[in-house]
Amino acid sequence: MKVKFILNNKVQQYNGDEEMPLLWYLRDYAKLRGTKYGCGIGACGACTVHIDKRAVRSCTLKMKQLEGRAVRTIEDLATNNILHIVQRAWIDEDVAQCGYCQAGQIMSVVAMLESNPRPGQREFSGLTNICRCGTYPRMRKAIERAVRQINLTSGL
Amino acid sequence: MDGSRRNFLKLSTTGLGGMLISLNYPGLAADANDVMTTRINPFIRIEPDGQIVIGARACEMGQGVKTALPMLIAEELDVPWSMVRVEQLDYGLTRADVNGELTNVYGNQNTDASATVRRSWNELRQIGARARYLLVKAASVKWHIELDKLNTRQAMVVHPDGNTLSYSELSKVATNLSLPEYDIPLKKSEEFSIIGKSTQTADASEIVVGATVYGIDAEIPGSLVAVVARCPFFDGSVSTYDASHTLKLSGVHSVVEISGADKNDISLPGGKKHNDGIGSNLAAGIAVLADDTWAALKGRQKLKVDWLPGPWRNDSTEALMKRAGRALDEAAQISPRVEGNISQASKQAGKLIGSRYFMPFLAHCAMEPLHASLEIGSDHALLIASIQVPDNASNVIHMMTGIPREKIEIRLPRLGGGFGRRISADYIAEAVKIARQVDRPIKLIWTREDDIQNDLYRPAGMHGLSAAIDKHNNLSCWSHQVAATYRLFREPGLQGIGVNEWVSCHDPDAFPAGCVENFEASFTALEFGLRRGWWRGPLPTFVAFPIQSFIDEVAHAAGKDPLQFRLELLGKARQMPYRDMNFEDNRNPTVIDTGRLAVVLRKVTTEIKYGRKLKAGHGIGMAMHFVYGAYVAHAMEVSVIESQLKIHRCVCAVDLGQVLNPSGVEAQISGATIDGISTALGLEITVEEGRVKQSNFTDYPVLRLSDAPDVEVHIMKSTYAAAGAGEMGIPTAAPALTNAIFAACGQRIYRLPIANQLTSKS
Repeated sequence: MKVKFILNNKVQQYNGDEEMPLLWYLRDYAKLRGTKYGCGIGACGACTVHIDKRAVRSCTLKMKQLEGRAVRTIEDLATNNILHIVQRAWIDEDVAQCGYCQAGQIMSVVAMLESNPRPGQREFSGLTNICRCGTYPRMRKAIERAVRQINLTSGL
Repeated sequence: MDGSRRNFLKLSTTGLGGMLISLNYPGLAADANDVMTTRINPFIRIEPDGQIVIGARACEMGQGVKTALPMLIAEELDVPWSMVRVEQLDYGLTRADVNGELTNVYGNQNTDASATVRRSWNELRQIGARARYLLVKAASVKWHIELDKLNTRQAMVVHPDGNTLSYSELSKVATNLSLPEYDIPLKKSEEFSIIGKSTQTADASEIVVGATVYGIDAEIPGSLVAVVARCPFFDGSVSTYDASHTLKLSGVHSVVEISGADKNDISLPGGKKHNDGIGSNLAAGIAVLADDTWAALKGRQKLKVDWLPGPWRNDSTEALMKRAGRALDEAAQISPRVEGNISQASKQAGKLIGSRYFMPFLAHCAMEPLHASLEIGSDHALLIASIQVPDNASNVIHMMTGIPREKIEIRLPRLGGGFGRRISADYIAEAVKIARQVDRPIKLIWTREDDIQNDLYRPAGMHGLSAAIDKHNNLSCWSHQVAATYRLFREPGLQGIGVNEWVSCHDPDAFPAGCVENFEASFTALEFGLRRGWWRGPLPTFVAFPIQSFIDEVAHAAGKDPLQFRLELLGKARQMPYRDMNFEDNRNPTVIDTGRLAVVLRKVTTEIKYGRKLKAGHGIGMAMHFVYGAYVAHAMEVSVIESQLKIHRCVCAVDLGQVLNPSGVEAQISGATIDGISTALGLEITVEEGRVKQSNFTDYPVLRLSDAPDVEVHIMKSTYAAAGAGEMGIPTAAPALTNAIFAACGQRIYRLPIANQLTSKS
């Protein structure tokens, strides 16, 4: 079985084990190692990528489920070396401690803000990625900063 | 003097002491083709465009040392931080000549006990000051002017007439000059322009684009991925196994058996006490080697293994609790501190109270699971892995392979968290066992389940506390008996049950020691099969909860306010002796200053407006503790309504001595507070029928964003020596929280985690 999908704006063909989780394809074959392994069961979110603009945990998504879909990883978030507003906010609030979960955190937040640029309590409680260093307070500040930026930029 | 062997500092273990030995070691990698790039010393390189590259020697696991240590160098080098680029240094162990002594050109690269900044404070400033000295001397040669007429500013040497020479112009000449025999005088604190200024995390921009290479992201070309099926029973072994289905899978290369606990693997020269029972901490298992991670994982799933369960097959946490209770009913095995006359004071007491607190085993659960990329050749090894203590990894590889230590190359990538787990090199030893059986480099990967079920856990134990209150309602007697699974029970050379291992589970000099006339701290060692290790703030987290909870209980029993009671006990500011049994080599402070402890306690209670009238179901709790030379207090306001706990405010005050990077300290204290709350709320490793019950974040529920409170951090202005920051925020979080719960609803928490114990209907 061949799987045809888009990875960071490029068409890919995959002929390998169709049961392989996307995470291991990204890390071992596409050599996109910004997507991290944390739990393997979709519980921690370190491996979060976007599939058709939705945040998805790539450790539980099999390659065969990718047919015709578009995958975006952290490596594609900055375009032409210009950081995404959320990435910029993460730097400005100096969120990262060990930093291992942060790519996944950022991907989750970007997906949330792309579907709702004015997130409320409900959206925030949908952010369930684990940060073992406990950077949540600065994360909240960074999200608030990004929200302000986005709404300024869009003139709202 | 040979130009290529010039001006490299040899750092002796006893400090700099003016020693200068030229040493042929590459140091911070310089581009050999670029003649304009100059290395001033192993830590400092100056680029042709003027950029200053400073090497970070310690292991960065999120505690901020990759930022903090170069700040110390940059301060004395006198360069603006904006001109600095930080580079991680490799492990710098080398031998000056074949018969020479082993030396680390970068000094101590280990990262534990919140000691990195503490032990680097003067040493790395001296490194920067020496480089500056050479640059100034280069200018004095060029300008034919005495050294002391010159000054520096913005990476330039300034002539009294206003002329300047940039460091990059001077660097070539500087490397040909010699240093004085004495230590260079360092800046006074009022002259600091980098120390004490909030500085952004060195890798922040790389992290947010996913470009940072963590240990698990590194790969030695030609590697096979290895995963291991480990015996789930402590000290169990492989009976039989069938790998035929595994070997049929495409992508699977081979399977190899690894022996488990084997004290002969690691023998320490001269019977020296090593702080890591590595060889004896390994599980027996079968390793599957494959072309990629997925094939290795599938291959492991297809293995059929019969395990021999070993001597602990019927043990459990509940059985351990019973043993702990019985131990506390009897006399302790050892009493490291006894003062006054406990029995007499008890007889004369107006009131006697006693309580028992249970502390569970804890897993580390660093976000980045354990791993090791390892290549073993005949006379050379290469290790790329997230580790906290490269000395341990280097020792283990050396002892298991015989490869000379200076031929063991170790890279130090960024760690995806450490929390003490990566101090031990058990997983490096496991990688060695596998790599020796295959002819290719390997990349060993632990899954999250492997990590939680094969951790070196924070010890568990029960604390029996009792107190006497005299007729004037003062505390007259305090007894703290601990029955616990001491940490190093598998250490080779440890004779019998580890009564002398009380140092891992008791702190006899912790408050209220010295503040009560009749005092006893005692310990009984408990046997249990689970591997144990260091867990963020190992001893402080283990003792602060029972002590700070019981102080509250005693205050209430004496009819006193918990804040006033603590302040009364601390009394007037004075310094009391403190023995730090765990970290003698870290030059920890040897006194506790009761005044500094009172200051942080007053700060948090003032900030949270303790004493004000609270809404129904609300309460404020507090706790304070001395942590590795730092003074820390927490106060929290919570509500418990219909058994639902909510944290409304969380305030922390720290006196860490001089502060290097305030933003970094704030992050550490805030993060550690959340770690403490997360752990107190829901984290516990339990054992049933000789096996660890938990396996992933589903049953080891680390706190998530929506449940994490904001943390208000107050850093006290202090001129005392810097104490570090990594572990200071965690010990008092749990007792402040549970004391607040008691204040809110009258329920005392005697066993961590809190989990679903709350029964209040208020």
